Amino acid sequence: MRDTITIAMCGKGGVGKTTTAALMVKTLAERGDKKILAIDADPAIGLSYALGINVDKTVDDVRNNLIQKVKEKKIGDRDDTLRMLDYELFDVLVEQGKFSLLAIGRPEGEGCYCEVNTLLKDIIESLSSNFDVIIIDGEAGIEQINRRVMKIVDHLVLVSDTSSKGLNVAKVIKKVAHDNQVVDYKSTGLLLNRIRDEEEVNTIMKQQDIDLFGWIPEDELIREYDFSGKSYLDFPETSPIGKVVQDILDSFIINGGAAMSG
Amino acid sequence: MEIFNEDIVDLRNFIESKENEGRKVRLLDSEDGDRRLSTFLKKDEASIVFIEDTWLELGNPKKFSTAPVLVTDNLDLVNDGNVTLIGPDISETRGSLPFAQILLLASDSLQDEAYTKLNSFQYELELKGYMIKAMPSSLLIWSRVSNDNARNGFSFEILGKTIINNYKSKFDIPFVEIIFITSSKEDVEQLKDLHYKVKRIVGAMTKMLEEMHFDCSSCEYLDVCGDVRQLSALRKKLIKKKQGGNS
Ligand SMILES: Nc1ncnc2c1ncn2[C@@H]1O[C@H](COP(=O)(O)OP(=O)(O)OP(=O)(O)O)[C@@H](O)[C@H]1O
Ligand SMILES: [Mg+2]
Repeated sequence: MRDTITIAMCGKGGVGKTTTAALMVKTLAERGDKKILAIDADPAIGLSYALGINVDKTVDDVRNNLIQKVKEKKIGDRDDTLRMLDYELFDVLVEQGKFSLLAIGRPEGEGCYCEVNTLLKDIIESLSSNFDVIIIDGEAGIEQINRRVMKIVDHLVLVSDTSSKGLNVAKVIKKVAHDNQVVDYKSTGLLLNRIRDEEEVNTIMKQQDIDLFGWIPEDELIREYDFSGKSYLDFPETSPIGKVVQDILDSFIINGGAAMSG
Repeated sequence: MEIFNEDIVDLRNFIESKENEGRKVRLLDSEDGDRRLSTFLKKDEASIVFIEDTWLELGNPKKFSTAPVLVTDNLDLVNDGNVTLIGPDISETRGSLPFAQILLLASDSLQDEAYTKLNSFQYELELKGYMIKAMPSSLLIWSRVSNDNARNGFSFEILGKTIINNYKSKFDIPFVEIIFITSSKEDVEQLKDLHYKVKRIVGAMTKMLEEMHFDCSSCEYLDVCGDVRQLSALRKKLIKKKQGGNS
């Protein structure tokens, strides 16, 4: 069994979760020494797009297909069902050589068919165990913190811009996650994005009781990549942002989650 | 079980026609084949063969694949122990190929109810460097052979003999034969009629075995059940069993 490290981006809408997740995948893929799984948990499949991947099937499609088969009683015993899900899920997995990607699509529905969701969760977990590092680009907001896919998270990265709203959402997510003990985190911390200068970081961190993982400046190149729809896999290594992302990943992977002091 | 007797005969004709068309049809039985089986037994922990570690991929979902299991109680119809290959062996090709894996089982003591188990058992393989994904009820098979395996001489003979041995030891079936087809998309696709027939039968049986009411008027498998005498016999048997169990 591998010792899989799972890193998840959470935060308010539009703060840079997808951008940072994509940069993390790119950085790790470049290093080439780890098996990486990118999980796009946003129904809008932003991470897939940011990595230049066309998604034609999601985990949600697999789930719906199975529910349909259950309804039509076209399914055999549990073993048969597990095999079928395993086959279809592997088909959803996009293998890029340097990393693989799984698009979740719509999150699981509440209520009925929880058996289906449990089976899916089991299979995603066993699939995950084949990777060294998993990067999850979460959906905006706090609800997803309750979802099963988040249960496997080791490092919760609370992405925020400098807005009080963004910082507040980060705080709430941290509280919800810790209060409910949904996740057995090794570390939780802020990744501040779209920062003007270090002074701004210091001012913000004075008022926070969350650790700081790092900060990314407002960046012209990110704007350009976003504007022209370029894949972040081609983001230049020379960008200082690469160094920030690299340091954060090192702290997770090498030190098991030491944060900078705020 | 005699549902598949005709299909087995058709299959023999198919193989012969391929041979006549000049395909490489081989009976794989090397001197050290049996000895080398054990080299590949038992997997390493990681069950995935990633695409970058793959030598040969068989039956990718984007290509056609089929893995029918044909069971008969006529022992004369199955050549026990035979592993036949139509097309290139693992060491002779690379990349991604369509795939057919056809199992022939003969036993005069098998219950019809065992069929769905016999169908899915072919995927219960513990082989190093051979990843297998399957949808037993759809007869779809998708597998990957790792680079390491190809280098170490993993072959269809080893795969076939392992599967044959598995069936013999688990179900005590006296006659087991296996046929692999890798020659071309067209060749594998010629098995579509067989594929869909077997799939319908698996579907009908699965439904019968899983479901407790037998309302034929609303059943989508009404046609196969009508065509295949044995299915309606199985249905009657199951109803009897159920009524017996309820009283
Ligand atoms: N450091 C930065 N400098 C400049 N622009 C940035 C920076 N980080 C993110 N952006 C821009 O902000 C926008 C939102 O970023 P992103 O899509 O990564 O956020 P998100 O949190 O994933 O949003 P959503 O909640 O909608 O999924 C994008 O247009 C992106 O290019
Ligand atoms: Mg996003």
